[in-house]
Amino acid sequence: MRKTLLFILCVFCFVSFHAQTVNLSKMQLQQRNEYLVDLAKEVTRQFGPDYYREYKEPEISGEKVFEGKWDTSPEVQRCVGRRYYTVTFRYDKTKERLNWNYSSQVDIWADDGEPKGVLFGNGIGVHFFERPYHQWVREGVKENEKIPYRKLPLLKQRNLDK
Amino acid sequence: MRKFSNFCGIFATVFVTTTIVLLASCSQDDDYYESDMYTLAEMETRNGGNGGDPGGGSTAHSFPSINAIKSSAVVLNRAAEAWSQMLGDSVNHEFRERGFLIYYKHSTGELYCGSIKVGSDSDVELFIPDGDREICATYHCHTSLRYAPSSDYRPTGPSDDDISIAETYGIPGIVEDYSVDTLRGGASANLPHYRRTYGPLKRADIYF
Repeated sequence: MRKTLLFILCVFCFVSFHAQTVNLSKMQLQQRNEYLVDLAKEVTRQFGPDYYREYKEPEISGEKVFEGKWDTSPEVQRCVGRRYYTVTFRYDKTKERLNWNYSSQVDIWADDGEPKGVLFGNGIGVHFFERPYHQWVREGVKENEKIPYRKLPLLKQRNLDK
Repeated sequence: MRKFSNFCGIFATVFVTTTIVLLASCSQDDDYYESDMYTLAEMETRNGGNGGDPGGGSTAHSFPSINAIKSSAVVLNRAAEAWSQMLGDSVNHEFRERGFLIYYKHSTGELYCGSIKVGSDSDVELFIPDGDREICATYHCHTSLRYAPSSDYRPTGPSDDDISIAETYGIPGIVEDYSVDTLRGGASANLPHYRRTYGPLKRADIYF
């Protein structure tokens, strides 16, 4: 009886896990782009709300292969070879100056539709190798875990200050 | 028909040779990126010079290349000092970039460095005064993430803004950062690091 219950539990876990994951490679282009943009906006709002911009259309990359050269830890290395997309949000450079040419840039895995990481315009980001994004959101992102907004002085202002 | 073929052959040979000669002469003259041509002229205007016009009997002052600057002892010593200060901050759980301006004294041909400026966790502003005729490069170092959360990370090397500033002012830059492509929160502050250059290969000659 115990074995049967354990089996049912395992099947339930397996089915519920797969019900949540989305294989983006198999999606229609438009449907996939909508999914990517919606999720990228959500990730930006969760981890760097001050970097969220509605400026121009977000840019969606083609599929890229994760090489993981930068980290030898097991959680990173087990993802080597996985494919992902990048969604890039630009900002108005006449109004603000950031370290990078994007306000946020979100990487999303192609095989399960889960976020891989997010980088913000100040050059700092959050990755989800250790703690999956949805677990983080379920448990709640604390204020001190969000990336604070940092901007640089506009060059015109700087010249006028002299 | 044969004459026509011969003519075509000669024409093609002359055309290709001329193109190669022209390209070779261009590459000899250009010691910096093509995109810098506009910004360098703009810089001369900003500096109140004669717009970089080599004519009219003006005197040219040349600057050393960024590779020569990067390997000079005076720059290496000041860079080591700046990097050490940055590491000192990280021990106190603070992340502050450091940087300084590098000058070239035309009369003696010597390089010297300005004082080390302290910046924030993502920037150090190195003010380039209008009319300056000695600044030949900038140096800054990025910070450690030793005491940042392990879920944080950042790309290493010059940022888009670093490159944009270097190209706008026509002043080459040196950035010291960790050797890994991406630095993760909690990584040792003593990981290998090195100096990368960006922007033009050297400041353009000035005429006055």
